Amino acid sequence: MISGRIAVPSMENGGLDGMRAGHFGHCDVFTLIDVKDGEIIEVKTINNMEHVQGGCMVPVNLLASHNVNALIVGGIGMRPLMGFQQVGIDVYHDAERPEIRPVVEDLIAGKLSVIRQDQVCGGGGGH
Amino acid sequence: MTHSYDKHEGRKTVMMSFLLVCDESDTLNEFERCLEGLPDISLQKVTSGQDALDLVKDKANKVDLAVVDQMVGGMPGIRWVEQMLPLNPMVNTALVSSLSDEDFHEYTEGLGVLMRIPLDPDKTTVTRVVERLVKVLSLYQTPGA
Repeated sequence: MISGRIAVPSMENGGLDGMRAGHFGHCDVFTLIDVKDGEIIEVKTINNMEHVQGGCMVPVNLLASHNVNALIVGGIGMRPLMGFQQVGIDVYHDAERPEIRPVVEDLIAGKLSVIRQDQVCGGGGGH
Repeated sequence: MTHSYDKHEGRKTVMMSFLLVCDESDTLNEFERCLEGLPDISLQKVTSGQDALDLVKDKANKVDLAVVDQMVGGMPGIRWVEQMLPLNPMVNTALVSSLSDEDFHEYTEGLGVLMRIPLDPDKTTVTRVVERLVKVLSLYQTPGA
């Protein structure tokens, strides 16, 4: 990623040296990382909104309203994934590392993969 | 078959658009009857799964909530939800199911289903659905940007 805004679902206060949240809908905050010419130029956080059952498009609207270009998740359901695709936010996947910094650096370096349909969470009725 | 009707036309309030997706069974008849007694509800009922998919695919058709029967067009309602999401993920869904709430949560995980509709929905069910939908829609309106 050369330029753009990356979002990472984060625990507690977030930040580049913070920890990722495993379930993006339930995260405390989103860490937003602005990248220009392959360099991090600004890091800030925004609060997540209240999570209610069936409200998984709420963070989609939230991140779209903050002009996010890419999201890094450890897991995501089919519906929010479809939502992010619809609003033009690319969703990247790393289910291994709990820290924010290394996955962000890998995304900037082009080493992180876009999530595949078979990596979405949930049984979907036994799938 | 599709029929639609608006209640309280001309009122300056935000209408919530419901789409009932069902077979010819009467599972959702009582749900529909209870909805008719509520203000500010726009209701469409479609008894063809494909017609319902075509309807939500056209984003000119505002659908806030699709209430999906156990079986739609010969397939389980959850399959209809799975087919609908890539077409228009903004549409909220509620699904008729005999499962317990816990099993239902697992059954529909990731699909963002608003809530389970019991096989014998009544006025209380409809009230809960409307309250849940109002809550979710209110969160859409406050992105905190």
